[in-house]
Order: sequence, then C-alpha cells, then structure tokens
Amino acid sequence: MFTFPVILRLVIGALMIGSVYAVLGMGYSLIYKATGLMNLAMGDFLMLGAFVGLTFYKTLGLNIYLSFILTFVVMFIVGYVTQRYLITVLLNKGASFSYIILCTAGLSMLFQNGVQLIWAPFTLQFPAIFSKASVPFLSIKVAPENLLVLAIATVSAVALHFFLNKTRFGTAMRASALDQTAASSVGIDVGLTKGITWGLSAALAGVLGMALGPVYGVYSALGAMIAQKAFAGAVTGGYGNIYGAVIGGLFYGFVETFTAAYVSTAYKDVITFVILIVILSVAPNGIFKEKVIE
Amino acid sequence: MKKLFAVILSLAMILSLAACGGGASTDRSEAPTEKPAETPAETPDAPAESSGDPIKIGVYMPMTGTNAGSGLTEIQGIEMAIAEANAAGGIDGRQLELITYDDAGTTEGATKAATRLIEEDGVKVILGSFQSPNVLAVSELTEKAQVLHLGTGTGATWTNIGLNYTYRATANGNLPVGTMVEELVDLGKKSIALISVESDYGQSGRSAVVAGAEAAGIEVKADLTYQSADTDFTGIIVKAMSAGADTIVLYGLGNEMAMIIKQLRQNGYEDLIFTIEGGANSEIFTVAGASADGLVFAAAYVIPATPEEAATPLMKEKLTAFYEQYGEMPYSDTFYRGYDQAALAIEALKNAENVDDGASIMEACKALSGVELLGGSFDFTAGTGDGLTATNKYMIMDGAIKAYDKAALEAWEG
Repeated sequence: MFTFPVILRLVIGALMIGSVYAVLGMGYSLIYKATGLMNLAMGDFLMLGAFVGLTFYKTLGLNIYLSFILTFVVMFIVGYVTQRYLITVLLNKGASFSYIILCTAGLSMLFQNGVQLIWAPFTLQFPAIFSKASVPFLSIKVAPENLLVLAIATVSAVALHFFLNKTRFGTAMRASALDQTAASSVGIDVGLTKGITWGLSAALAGVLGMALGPVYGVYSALGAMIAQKAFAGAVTGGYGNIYGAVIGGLFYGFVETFTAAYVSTAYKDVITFVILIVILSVAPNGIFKEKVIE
Repeated sequence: MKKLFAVILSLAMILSLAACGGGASTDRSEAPTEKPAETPAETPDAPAESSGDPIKIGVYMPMTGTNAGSGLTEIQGIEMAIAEANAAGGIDGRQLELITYDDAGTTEGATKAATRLIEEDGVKVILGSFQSPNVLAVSELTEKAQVLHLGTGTGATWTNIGLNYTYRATANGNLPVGTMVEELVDLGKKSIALISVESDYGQSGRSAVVAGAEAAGIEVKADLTYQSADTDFTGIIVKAMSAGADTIVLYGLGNEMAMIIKQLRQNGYEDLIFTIEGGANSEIFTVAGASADGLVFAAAYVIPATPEEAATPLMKEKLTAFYEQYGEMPYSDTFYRGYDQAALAIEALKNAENVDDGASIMEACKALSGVELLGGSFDFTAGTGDGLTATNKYMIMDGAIKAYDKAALEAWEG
C-alpha cells in the first residue's frame, strides 16, 4: 500500500477530483467576492454543462472542441441571465441576501428537475472522448479523461488568474468587488461586471461538467456531492479568495482520496466535513484569511 | 418582492412535478390520477364490460431523483400487467385501478405515499418499490392495515422476519450471491476484494457475500464500502487493487457501480469483476461502456439488446409488447419486477375469497404456488415472504450480456 505505483495512482486521483473541487470552488468565490452572494446552484451549473455538452457532442454530433466552446458560451449565458434577470431583479426589489440564497436553492431544484424533464430522469451516456480507457503514465495506467479534467482545471485557474489581474475587465471586476460606488464613479458598469462574473462562474463549472461526463455519466444529481466538497474547499481556503478555493479544493481531494485508501472508505466524507468544521472553528476566515462580507 | 419570490418558488415546484411525467401514465405526488391502466393497442381482446367498483391497487415508486429511471420502468411493467388483466375482464368483472405516488426514493416519501394509499384511497393491494429500506418501512403500515404489499427490493432484511402481508416479487439478494460464489469457485478464484455500498441493501448483501465466500473456502482480503452519492472511487479502487486478491467483487446498484467499474479499468485493472443483479442495469453500459467487458454476474433476469434475444418465451413476449408500445427496450430489469409484482397481485386477487378483505387477499397470496412469471416459478407457501429459489448466471462480453461461459471467460482473462 505504500509502493510508488500505489501512491502515484492516489496522487493523480486526488489531483483530478481536487481540481474539480478547485474550479467549482473558484466559482463560489468569484460570485461571493464580486457580489457578496452565495450561490447554492453551482453544482447544478456543472450538471447543466454536462447535459448541454452531451447535446452538442452526442446529439448534434459536433466535434469535441466546438462542443466545449459552445458549452462555455451557453453556460456563460445561463449564468449571466441568472444574475441580470433574476438576482438583480430580486435585489432591486429589496430582497435580503438570505432570500437570494433561498432563490439559488430554488434555482437548483429548477435545474435538477428541468433536466429530468428536458433530457431524461436517468443517467445518460457521454461517449468516450478518447479511444483508450487508460494510457501508460510512468509505471501505472491512468484514464486520459482524468488527465483532461486536470488539464481543463489547470488552464481555467491560470486563465482566470490572468483575466483578473492582467486585463482591464478583470481590474474592473476587482474594483467593483472592492467598492461598488467608487467603481461606478470612475465609469465601471458594476451591473455588467457582476453579470459577467456569474457568467464566468457558470461557464467554468459547465465546461468542467462536460469533461466529467465521460467519467461519471450525465445525470441530474451529478453536481450535488461535488458542490458540497467544493464549497468546503472554498470555505477552507477563505471564502471569496479564488486562490484559497484552489488550495482548499486540492486539499479536500487529497484528504478524501488518501483517507479512503489508508484510513476508512466508509468514513471519508465524515472525516472531510469534520475537518471543515474544525477549520471553521479555529480559522473562520480560512487559510488565506479572507474577510467575511457582512 | 414577495410576489416575485413566490412565483419563482412556484415555478420550481411546477417543474419538479412536471419532471415526474416522463414515462408513466399514472401518478403523482400531489395530485394522483385514478384510472384503469390503458390497454395496449396491440392487445387482441377488447376490454370486457366491467361491473361494480374498480379494485384499487396502490403504487409507491421513485419517479424523480437518481432512481427515477428504474422506478418509471417498474411502473411500465406494472401497467402492462394491469392492462392485460383489465383487457381480460378484470377480477370478477371489476376493473383494476392504479393509483401511483412518487416516493422520490426516500423512506419518508414511501411511508407518506403508503399512508395516503391506505387511509385516503382505500387500496386493497400496494405494490412497493425496488428499494428495500422503503419496503421495510412501509411493511409496518401494511401489516397494521392488513393490506397485501408486494415489494421488489432484493435486500434480504425484509423477508424471513415474520411479516404476514409483505411478499417479495423478485429474487432475494442472497440467492444471486450463492450463484455468484459458484461462479467464483468455477473460475478458480481463491480470494476476493469486496466493495459494497453503505446501505441496507449493500450491507445485507456484503454479509451474504462474506459468509458465502468463507463457506466456499474463498478468502476475503479486503472488505471496503462506499457511499451511494460518491463519484470518485480512486481511494477504494487503489486499496482493492493492492489487496493481492484474485478478483474484485462489487455489491451495489445503478450509476455508482458502473462508475466503479469504469474507474477500475481506467486505473489499469484488467481482470474479471464479479457482482449480482446490478450487472443487468443499463447504466453498466451507458456509464461503463466497453469497460464492462469481463463483468460476471448472477441475476434473476437481464434486459437483452432485442426482444429476440430474450432468455425465455415469456420474456420475449413481454419485451416484444414493450418494444411495440414504447419503441425501445426497457431501461432496467425493474420492468420484469414490476410486471411480476402486478401479476402476482392479480393472481392473489383472483384466488381471494373476498377481494374487499385484506386478510383474504393475503391468504390467497400466501397460497400461491407454481406461478410461472418472468422471474421464474413463484411459490410463497413456505411463508417466508420469498417466492423464488433459483437464479441465473451471466457475463458481459463484447459489449453485450451473454449466458455465463467459463471457457470464454478464461480465454478473456488470457
């Protein structure tokens, strides 16, 4: 159990699932940082992306690259529309943040039942993207789909970093998050940046969901448990800090995988959430000491 | 603002209910329809004139959530059997009326549905789901109300415990376990790594596998469990592969087991994998795909690729009827279970001295013997609640379910 191939296999597995938590956690953090809101439908954005991607790739027979791009676009629109024409409308009518959180919970139900109605209430097959189930990697075999997920997560994280720090729009987003009034006074369209933030979060989750389709199959509850772990990762890293979300997501990927292998397969989730509670107790602002928005 | 919020929540609820509509003709959680099941167009005999009030048969089944596919398929089987009975004149001239509620796959949902069926609808028979915890929970209600209750879960926990009104319309999970152990012995496996789902179903099956393996002289080198909501199984898989066992045995159902099979292959596991009836689930193909080759399993029945490939003439007849009605093969083997449970209920009602008396219907069910259905020959006279005593051996090879073939499996192993 402590040989190099075993540990390597565990590390790759942990990186794969951890990177999934990381990307979804970045979505949680982006939305929280930019709008001060908590979106309980993040896992459903991931799930919806899997269904949308399945439609482009399998039903319409488009090639995989185009399917990923179109999924990104569709999910961006879903996220953008959700923020602009639902969340903003509620906020303008004076809804408190707790109402908004409840609204996203309702949205989660809407998405889950909606896909059952539109596509199917059972698991759909996402065709294999690669011709081989596994490929040699050092001394072990790994699934190319797992490497794809890892690659998408890495590219997403790096691209998001540069987008936020090296582009005018990224700067505008960060400015809006810091002080909306000041941002507005210098000509930044705060509403637009918020909408784009939601769109980006949904698009990243959706593309990841599509990449997960061949690994897990496509079904309405696909994002449920993943979202819980990603949320735990985002909180542990410092809710609202995208780098913290990455670290937190990877941390829980490793905790979960190595706990299952070396401690207990039955209690890996319990251990994961006990760790979350302990971290919340001793460091409520997370690893990156992110300030909680009141 | 409150109005808008209410509209959004209402929309969510409407979609929740609307989503239940994919496949069954009767339902639902809040507004049940009460009507005789439709007669398939191809049925040659016109429905006979009915006389008297219809006999109400209740159904609780997951019609939403992750198990909805299997639940809706089971309802299709039930509807087929009921439609056939109604076309043949019903019971003593009385038509059969189905009342179906969505239990959402939860114990709470099942007991709520059963309570409503008993107290408000006054059903004479309840056809329960394939989820054993839900059957067990509802059995308390049906015993008290003296309502015949036919479940199709395979968990061993709810028969052989002295229940009078609850019967199993499929094989007890322990039955395929014995057959699977025979397969392990036949293929010369001396040790196993066992992976089972952390549930009533999985753990009763796990105990049976461990006992069966030890009795056959097979060592259990790893005994691992997972949660049904899990998606990544790397830790468990690595542990199982590192246990030094001759093969891996899975005890679970549906999507998660298919994911384990796929992830086993993705992690380089290239030997045979053994399981029981979960091997017949269509998700094995939709999720695991080609990775399912080399799966050996024991089950009462499977869904073949076409009706012509059915294992028995009766299966062929029913699958043909299904295909003509729906234009596709059933989603899962719960179609067989649904058909059998409704057919057994109909037999019990036919033989009952008084179809309006629960005790009389129960006695008639308890006396059923030699009833040849899709799962085999049912005999409830032992009084245990179980009616089947044999099951079949299968394997997946070249992307299709085939009859167990030792030579082919040994060749596949190389």
